[in-house]
Amino acid sequence: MNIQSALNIIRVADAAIVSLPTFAKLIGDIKDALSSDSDQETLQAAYDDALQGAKDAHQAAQDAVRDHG
Amino acid sequence: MFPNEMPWYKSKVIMGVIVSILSKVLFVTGVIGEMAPADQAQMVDLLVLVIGGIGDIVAVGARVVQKEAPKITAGKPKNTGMMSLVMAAALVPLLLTGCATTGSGSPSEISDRTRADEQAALLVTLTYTTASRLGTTLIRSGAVTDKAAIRKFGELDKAAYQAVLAVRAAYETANAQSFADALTNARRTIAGLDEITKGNDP
Repeated sequence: MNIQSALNIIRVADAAIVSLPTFAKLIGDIKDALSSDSDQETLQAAYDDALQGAKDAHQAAQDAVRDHG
Repeated sequence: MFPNEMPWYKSKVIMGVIVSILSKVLFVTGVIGEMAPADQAQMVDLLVLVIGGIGDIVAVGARVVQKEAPKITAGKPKNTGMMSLVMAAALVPLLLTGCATTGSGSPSEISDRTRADEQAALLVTLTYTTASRLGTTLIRSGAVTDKAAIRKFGELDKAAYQAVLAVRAAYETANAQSFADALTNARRTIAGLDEITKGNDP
């Protein structure tokens, strides 16, 4: 493995670690969404939050594309 | 106790490394001749026993002087580092197969159906967010550098986000057919987004 490959792995690992709270929350939200215990009111609130999360993710994605594309 | 919560002084790997380094240092400085592997193994066992024993004594001592015992609760599993990212990547295709559609029926069936629709709309939204965030992370980290692929990701992300908003609009109008169509479209565009994130041509 050359130094460039090692640096790339470190960069990806670093980005992954920085994003971990986001993915951990998403996994938790998905788990809650799949739960049969959730009532309709909870689902509605979760859906509103999820839409806001989707909007933020979309904005972040477009910013990344603008910066690197 | 999880294996990765083992105290360092009880780890034979750590002790092995310490003994190996020590033996090399002692050999290089001429204090001893090179240590045989069998002797190193014996030394590792000895060190684990001695240092582990000291650790246990310290732990017992700390418990004796402690005023209150800590409350033991089940607790949530700890964040498993890179596993969250891997799980998120694995979740996207899995979730895309899990979106329910609508149909007619009795009032109780309709109530269940509404809940199922809400769950499907929520899942498709969360799936989009997961796929989009994964792509963004890969681009920002430099794992994806191909400009054409990045631009393609940008287009698919726009289409998938619009599809998610269309699901919301269809959900609010409560039209079963348009909701089902919007869900199908959202699943298709998110699958494309997921494919480009994996480096495939959607």
